Amino acid sequence: MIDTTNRRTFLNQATVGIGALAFQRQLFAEGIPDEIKMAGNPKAKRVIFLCMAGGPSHLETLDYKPTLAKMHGQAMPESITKGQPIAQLQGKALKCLGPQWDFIKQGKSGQEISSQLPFIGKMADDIAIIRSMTTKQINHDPAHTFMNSGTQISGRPCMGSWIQYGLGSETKDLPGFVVLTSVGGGQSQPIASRQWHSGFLPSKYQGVHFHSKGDPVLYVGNPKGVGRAGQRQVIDAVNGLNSIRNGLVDDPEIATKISQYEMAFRMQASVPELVDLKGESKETLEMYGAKPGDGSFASNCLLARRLAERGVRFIQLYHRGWDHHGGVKNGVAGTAKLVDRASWALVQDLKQRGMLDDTLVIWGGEFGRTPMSQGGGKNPGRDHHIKGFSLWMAGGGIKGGVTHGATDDFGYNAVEDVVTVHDLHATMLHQLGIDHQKFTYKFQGLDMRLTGVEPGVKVVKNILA
Amino acid sequence: MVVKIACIVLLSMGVAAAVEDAVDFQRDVRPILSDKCFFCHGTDPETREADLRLDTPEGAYENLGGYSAVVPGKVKESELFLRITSNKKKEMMPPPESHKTLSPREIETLKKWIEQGAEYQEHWAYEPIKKADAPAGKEIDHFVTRKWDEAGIQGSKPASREVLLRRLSWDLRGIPPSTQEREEFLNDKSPDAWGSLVDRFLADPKYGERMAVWWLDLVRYADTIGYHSDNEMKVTPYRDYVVNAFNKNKPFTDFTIEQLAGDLLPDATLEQKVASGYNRLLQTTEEGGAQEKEYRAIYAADRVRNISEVWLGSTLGCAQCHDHKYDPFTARDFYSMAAFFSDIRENGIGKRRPNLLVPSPAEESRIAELKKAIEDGQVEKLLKGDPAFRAKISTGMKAWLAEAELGHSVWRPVTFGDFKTPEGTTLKVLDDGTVLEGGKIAATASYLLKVTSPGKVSAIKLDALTHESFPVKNGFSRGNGNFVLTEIEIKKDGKKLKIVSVRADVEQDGFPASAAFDGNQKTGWAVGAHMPEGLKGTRRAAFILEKPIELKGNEALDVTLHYQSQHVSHSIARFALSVTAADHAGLEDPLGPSADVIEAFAASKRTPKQNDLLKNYYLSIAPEIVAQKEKRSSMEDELKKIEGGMRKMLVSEALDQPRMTRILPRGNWMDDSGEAVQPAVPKFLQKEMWKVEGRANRLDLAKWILHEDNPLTARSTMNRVWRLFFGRGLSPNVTDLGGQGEMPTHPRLLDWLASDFRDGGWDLKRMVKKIVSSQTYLQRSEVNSFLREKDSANNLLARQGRWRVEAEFVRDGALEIAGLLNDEKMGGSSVKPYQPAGFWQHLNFPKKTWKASEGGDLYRRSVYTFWCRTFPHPSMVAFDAPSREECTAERPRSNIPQQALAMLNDPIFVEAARVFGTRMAEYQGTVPEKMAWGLTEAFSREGTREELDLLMKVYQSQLKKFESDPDAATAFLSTGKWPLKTSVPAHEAAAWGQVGRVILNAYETTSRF
Repeated sequence: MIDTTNRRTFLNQATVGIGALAFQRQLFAEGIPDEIKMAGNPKAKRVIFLCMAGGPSHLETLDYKPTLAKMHGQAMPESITKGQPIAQLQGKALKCLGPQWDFIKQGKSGQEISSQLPFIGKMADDIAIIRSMTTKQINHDPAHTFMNSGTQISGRPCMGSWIQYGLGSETKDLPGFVVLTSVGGGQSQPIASRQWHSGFLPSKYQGVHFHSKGDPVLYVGNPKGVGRAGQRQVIDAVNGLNSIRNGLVDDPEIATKISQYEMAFRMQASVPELVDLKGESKETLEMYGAKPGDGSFASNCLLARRLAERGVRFIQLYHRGWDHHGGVKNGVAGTAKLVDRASWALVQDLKQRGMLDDTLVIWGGEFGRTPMSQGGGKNPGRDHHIKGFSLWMAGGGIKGGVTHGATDDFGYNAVEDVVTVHDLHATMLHQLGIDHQKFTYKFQGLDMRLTGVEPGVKVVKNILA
Repeated sequence: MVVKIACIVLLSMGVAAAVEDAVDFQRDVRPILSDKCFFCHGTDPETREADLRLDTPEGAYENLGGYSAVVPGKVKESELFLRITSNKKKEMMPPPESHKTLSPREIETLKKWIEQGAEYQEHWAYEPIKKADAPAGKEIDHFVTRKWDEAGIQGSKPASREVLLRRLSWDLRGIPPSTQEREEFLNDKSPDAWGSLVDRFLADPKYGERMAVWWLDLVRYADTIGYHSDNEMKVTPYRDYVVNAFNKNKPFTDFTIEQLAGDLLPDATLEQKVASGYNRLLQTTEEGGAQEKEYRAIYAADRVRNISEVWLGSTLGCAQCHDHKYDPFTARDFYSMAAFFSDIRENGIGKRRPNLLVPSPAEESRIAELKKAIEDGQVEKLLKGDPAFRAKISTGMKAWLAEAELGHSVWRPVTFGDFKTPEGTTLKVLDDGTVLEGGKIAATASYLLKVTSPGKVSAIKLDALTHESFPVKNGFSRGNGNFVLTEIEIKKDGKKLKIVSVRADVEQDGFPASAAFDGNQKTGWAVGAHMPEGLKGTRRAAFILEKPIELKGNEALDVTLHYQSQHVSHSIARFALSVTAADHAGLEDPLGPSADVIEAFAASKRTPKQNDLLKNYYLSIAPEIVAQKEKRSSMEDELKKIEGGMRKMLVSEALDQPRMTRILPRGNWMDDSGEAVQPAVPKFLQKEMWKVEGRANRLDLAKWILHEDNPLTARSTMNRVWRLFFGRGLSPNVTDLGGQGEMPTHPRLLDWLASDFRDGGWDLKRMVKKIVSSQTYLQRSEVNSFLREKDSANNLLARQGRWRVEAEFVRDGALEIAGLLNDEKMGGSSVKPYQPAGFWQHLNFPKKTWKASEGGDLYRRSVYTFWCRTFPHPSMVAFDAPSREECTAERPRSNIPQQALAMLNDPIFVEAARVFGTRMAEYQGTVPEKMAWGLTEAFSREGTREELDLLMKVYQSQLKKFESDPDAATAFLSTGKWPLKTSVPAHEAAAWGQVGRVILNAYETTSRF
């Protein structure tokens, strides 16, 4: 993006801390502002967050629990569940549900990964699995908000906006923070646009949602009957009027406006070029399992790579299909089929293009699922669960073939090397070269952080290469 | 930050960067302590280090064992000073891990403060409001110019009249002035032209719509619940209340009381109840699996955050988990505040049903009218109370009785052909032409009867009759005597004839005759074996067809009588069928007189009983009465329809037993160990103002908020109102006046405004007029090099502000310039402008699609646009409209490419441009004159030669383009629903439309300066 944007917003709000300096840097320099910089060199330049929305069951994907299998059908020990937050199982009998799928020891590292994720299994040595994630919100909407912004309160910036704010953009033709969505394999829980909102940060750090139908970016298409030349003429004339005006009143907002019309015009070309997969080889399309224009997770993964190539800083994919309250066995298998191959393909594609080293890939949901059965009968499901779940990371200086942390024998509580959402954020920022503690923004008189004000937030060093 | 600003000012004024000799605690010292020290040495005991607090003099001066943090007048003995100047990691303050540092200048300030006696003052915002003297009528300018004098600068010259007109129009109405308004104002040479313009704009209903945008942001008004499914919630009458309150200039006191506690006022009016919808505006969830207890805690916090930000300019919400770190708010204060709202009747989770019907003024008056007319129009009442009516009836009856005979029956019996009956049951035609059921008594039955009766048929009558053979005396069925005719079907040539109405003489409760043609076999017409009158008398029903038909010769009707009720053996066991050719209008008494009426009519000498019978019968057929009854019934239908279509909304309703509120330790909703609290306002602000006996309620809270000694309400409100007219608050942080807020640039001015607002009856229009009538307001907005150097941040108010207008006004302005703005209609349900298809695809439970409004509702003011919290309208979001999930006291003013994309390509702006283009084309004059007119319409000033030349080039080139590509012209002109005028040739209209786009996209069109 053009960096002279938002001067006013900036001056109004970013009155202290790194604000002014980061701002200058974006105007005049490159690199990470000293005020927020970590010691050492940053490993990652960008992040691709593959959000498995709905909450994948860790017990059928990344966290194998033989004891739970043995306990199948028996009551969950009350000592574990008593007084714990619970979602749809409120007031119901709590019975163990054993893992519904086998796990396979994969790769040289022998990481245990579900049989339903064969492709991800193939790259076990590329990924680090965290089995001790916890979160604080047990319902989808607030849990996404928490995962994205580190707080349940609406109106706070999400991580993509924070990172944009800290590091600026590397592209002049595209937004620096892009969101793509797909559905399939389970009920599609709603996703609010707050999940990519910049909150109290300047609006230019907002995520831009790409659509698979209609204009890929809202209003990026010319009006009917107006071609590129006609649009160019209109924009030239708008900028002409603005220049005349600016000559009289000398207003930096007008100068910014002129540059934003240029940016808009460039986006009108670069966005269609980006989403046009014609230039991709047959092999590549097959590798991802993508059919151009189908709006699938596979196509989105391919688009994610194209966005990464073009310098987009934060790319977030939502696949809305993991909310398996019933039929978790077939549910996980079905959603995994839509997600597994493309997730693998993305990591391998980045690798073969030499981009995995500086691209941090994160794969995980807003929470996990209960070891207890929901619904009983032939096709039991699992309820929302926040005390222990799993995700994996790859690239961007993450050590492959590592399993970090553990839940108890039931897969209920994370008990070993617990990783909070704030820890995850701190780790992500760390890989990007940012010290999360120094990374603040003044709002309502407080130094706000993505990682919150509570002490004890830590970088997960064990998974770093 | 205050220090920083002060610093900038000092630097820019060419004063050496030295700390001023006399240090002011409020202005200079507190901000440093607050930002750098209070996190660990402030109000919150939980995070307090070394048991030292620096927010109170007692804490700072306390003997810590032979030494004190601060020893007034003695820098070298003050531990604080030693620590902040230490280089040793273990000693230095703030500690390195806090990532906070003190600048040399800040250290110098603290040093001087200690030297000068280390005096403490209460934070400025919590001190009583002081009204400084100032020359009457010129107070604002007095306080502003004093600062100029001190700084040795001068303010800016007044802006030109056309700029002022445009500025005032944006500020007070949210739209630019029209060319006509411009001419009128420029030609108004009267000395009070400005004052009367201000009055005119304040009286314009658009003022309320403009101010509502500000208020609705604060109270986070929206049309959806916010969480998860984000389903619609019904609260639009609240929005209209706000618009009206500003227009009526409702005192801010009433405005506050009604919103917080309108429902608690004695004999609350509809308006007051609507206002209490404020308490229901928060975000709520309908997510399955949400835990009630958790959400009750979330809602309580939401309300505390909002009310303290809206009315007090405080961030009391920060005390949810711990005592506030920068202000003297405690966690107990937070939960005591939450307790005020624990009386509101609402479910913790799940759907919230509207609990108030809100008629519009038109609906309200029509309802009253209808109710009265229905009441007054009762036949009995008219007969008793209206002699003229009575006379008419009596004359009519005499004439009727004088007729030779009682009008012959209009009904002609049918001839029965074949029957189809259930197995074992028979039907037989008796000698009198009626039909008798025999054989097995079926549980349920359907009889198909083929009947003929040549001539016109407009209705068919079914007579249920009894028979001596029936087990129940006078019964109509062979069961218990009652029947349930679940459906009657009439077909001709296999085609069903539609029945539109029915008249029956007897209908059992819950079994009306209309249920016999509702297409539902579960309902039907019954006549009540258990009715008080028993089974005596006739049971007749005339079914009236939608369209009369003509039966020729042997043409038959297929009549099916269905008895499929759960009540078994309820078929009519003896019946007659007849048809009539009479028109609907002739069917006032479709059933015809009964036998005893006919007998009475014919009697040569009538008994008194017979006279009564005849009188009653006549009353049932008198044309005046029938007409009157029909009139009433249509009024009743209308009333029902209005009441059904009326807006509904969520309002406050108090529980008799409020829910218990506990302090939640660290904000943890699962922790029940906290103490229960009663409603109360924050302790340190109670002072002499808080004297409530018994349990305090929301009304007490509102009164405290408005107490004349409460310094926060008037200060915070006036600070925000000031921002509306200058682009920034007098205290730049309009959200928070507390410890981490910012010292006002003009504390005396803010206090004067606050006290004048309070003492002048909390009259907002009065204050607005004072502000916009000041010389300070009238200044030019350009930043000349002198001001840029002396005061680049405009802390001295030596010029006006300039900014891009709010999202709503960007769109309203474009519609106004195009002549499309539908400003006739105010209020009502929210409307939906065009929105890209699929924008709501991520919403679910249930899935939702946005359906654009129709007709004039596409062009309403944007304050009426449907506000979906999770997906607010994207082109409004591009221009910084907030999601309204939380209180927004200050919208950012960004300048991003999405704004260009929206203005260039959103159909509403393209449509506005083409309609605006056609207006230019139709303007009488040469092409340059048309263009000049258009430019003035948008810019409120005359265009320059250079600008017009530029537009002319666009016009000519586009004209050529569209001339050679007529399809493109047609396509371009097809954008939007507004009808295309054919008076202008397509290629010209399209070229003008492109000129329109250029003008609408110009920054000046959307800017206020």
